[in-house]
Amino acid sequence: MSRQQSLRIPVLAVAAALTLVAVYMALMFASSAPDVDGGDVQRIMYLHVASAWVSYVAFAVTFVAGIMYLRTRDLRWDANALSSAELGVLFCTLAITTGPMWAKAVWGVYWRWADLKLLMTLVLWLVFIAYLALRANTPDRRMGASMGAVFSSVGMLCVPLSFAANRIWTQYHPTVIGTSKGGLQVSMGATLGVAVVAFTVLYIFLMLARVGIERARDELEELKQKAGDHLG
Amino acid sequence: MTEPVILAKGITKSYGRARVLAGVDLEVRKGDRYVLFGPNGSGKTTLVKVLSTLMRPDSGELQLFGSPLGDDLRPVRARVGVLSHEPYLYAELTAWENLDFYARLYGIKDRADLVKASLREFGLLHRAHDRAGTLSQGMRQRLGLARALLHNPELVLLDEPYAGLDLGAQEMLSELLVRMSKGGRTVLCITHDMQKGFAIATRVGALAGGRIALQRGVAERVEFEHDYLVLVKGAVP
Amino acid sequence: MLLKELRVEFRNKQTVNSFIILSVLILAAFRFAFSVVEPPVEDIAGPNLWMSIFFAGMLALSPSWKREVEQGTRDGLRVAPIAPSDVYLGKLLANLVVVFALEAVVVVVVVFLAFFPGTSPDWPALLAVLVLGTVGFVALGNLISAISSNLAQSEVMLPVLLVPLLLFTVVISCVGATARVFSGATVLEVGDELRFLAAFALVYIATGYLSIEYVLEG
Repeated sequence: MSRQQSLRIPVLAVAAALTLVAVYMALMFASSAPDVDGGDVQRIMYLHVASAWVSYVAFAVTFVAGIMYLRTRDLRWDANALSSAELGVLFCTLAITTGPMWAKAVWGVYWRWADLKLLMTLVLWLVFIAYLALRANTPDRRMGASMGAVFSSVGMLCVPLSFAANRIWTQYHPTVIGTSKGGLQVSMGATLGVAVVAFTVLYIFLMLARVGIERARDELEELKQKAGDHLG
Repeated sequence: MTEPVILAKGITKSYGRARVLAGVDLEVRKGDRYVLFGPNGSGKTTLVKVLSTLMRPDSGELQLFGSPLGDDLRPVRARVGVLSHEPYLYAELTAWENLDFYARLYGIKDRADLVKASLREFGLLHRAHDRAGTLSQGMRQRLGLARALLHNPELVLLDEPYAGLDLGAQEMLSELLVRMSKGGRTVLCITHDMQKGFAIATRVGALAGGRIALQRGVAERVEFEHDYLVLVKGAVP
Repeated sequence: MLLKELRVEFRNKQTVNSFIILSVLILAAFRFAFSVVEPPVEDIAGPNLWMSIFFAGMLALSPSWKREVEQGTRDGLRVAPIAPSDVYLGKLLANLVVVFALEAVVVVVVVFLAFFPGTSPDWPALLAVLVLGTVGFVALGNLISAISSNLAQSEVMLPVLLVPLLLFTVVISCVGATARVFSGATVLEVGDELRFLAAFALVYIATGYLSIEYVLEG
């Protein structure tokens, strides 16, 4: 790893730690704000929204990185794609598990099929779990990279298509839906902002770490092969 | 002096952990009959796959027919005929249908005549309407050869073409290859059969350790065989 | 170059029959499963129909590419001077023929059981939904099948990869539209859904056509 990289990681680690602490503090202080909807469970919202947001970003990164790989054939793009997909699934799982908890408190139901956002998150989650399965089952690195890129592109393509199709669905399940979140009070909004930032920083940090692992792996491969040449 | 039909520099290819080709340099000129030997596992099949554009090398340069490979591989592929370990035959189709199918893929006119002539040349006319899956191994090998040469390619790449052929068919093949190269086609052939190899070659080489370790003209057979044995013994731990 | 398509069909002679039987069996299985709860027949007919088509269809799609890999003919196709996109189209047509054959049987069974001797659904509408929906399904399935043929455990991977993509696009649209047709809608009334299905079909075909070279060549 280059000098730059080895300095960056500790710096980011500290930054990540600090922001996480900030989030925690913010959450604590939010308890003083009069809570319209659900009492303590409401706090999960921060976690949920932030995770969801980060996962969307992560998936978008995978999508773009995949395409860049196909253009440049540079394996570094693929390392980014794979790492981002893993992190995306991680955060998305978090979002999907915290979502129903919050939903139950706020709306009284665990899940609402008609909610577009829920749908999109679910689709993305399934698609990228499939993506990881795809990568896991491909022995050849380059094949895995190309096909992963194709798959993630098609997957992303399906998101707007799902929205469109969903319009059909709602014809069968017309539900009277209020807005998905009650009005956000200022303090909650601020906390939310902090949470999102904190999670994003966490994501970046994890990405760097993860990509670093991939690159180290690739370098190791190269070294092994060079060593093999000399011995053979 | 025209450019070589095959020009390869520093071709490398790895499968996962294993580095199969570690810098292959190869030059084959028009009309050459280049025969490649090599111990098992030395990467001969991989090299043929790379040369036939079926596989992309990890690094290195490959030029076919004097120009580097562009994005569209079709024109190049139209001029190359490949026989690999698998004969690329559809078991459920008959011999005739198999050849006819490939003839269509290569855009050949007057297919029927060509297919018939090809079947006749390879002694398969009497089984033309039997499914390829029912043919004996030797016949399937012959059909595979017929398929590879059907479109009269300028460059012919053969991986163990003699395997499974009886003596008569082997003779016929050697004769055919010599005739083709005299007619301006280029042949690269991989084989274990040193006898046959030297009988048809204009140049020989040996692939070991992922590189072309030896290269000679046909006249230097004795030295080649000697060096080759050393190489093979050395390669086996 | 597109002559290849005819040839690809030829090859499928062996297994079509088993798929037809399979799809009817799946249909029967679903019927039994649902009849435990006893919902009205017309309601479940649509979903039943499509479940049967999708599952049997997926099983039918995977050998299309996998067999090429197994037989070694895949390289034979690649080494020939044809564009990968043409291979995709050829397979697409061949697979469509197979799946349509499946559907013909299944649809007749479903309609017969669900509607006879009462009114029958609006045939043009039903056909339109079937055709468009199937084209979309097979177009995407073809691409994914090509992808999965490269993987370990390809038979399992095909559904794993395909279902998430299909779930909220094709599945919802097809089942939704069919349900409406079964409750009596005519072609014009399901125009919206038909437009969606057509759009999906086009998009998936285009995607497959463009992406297939990356899958074949890597």
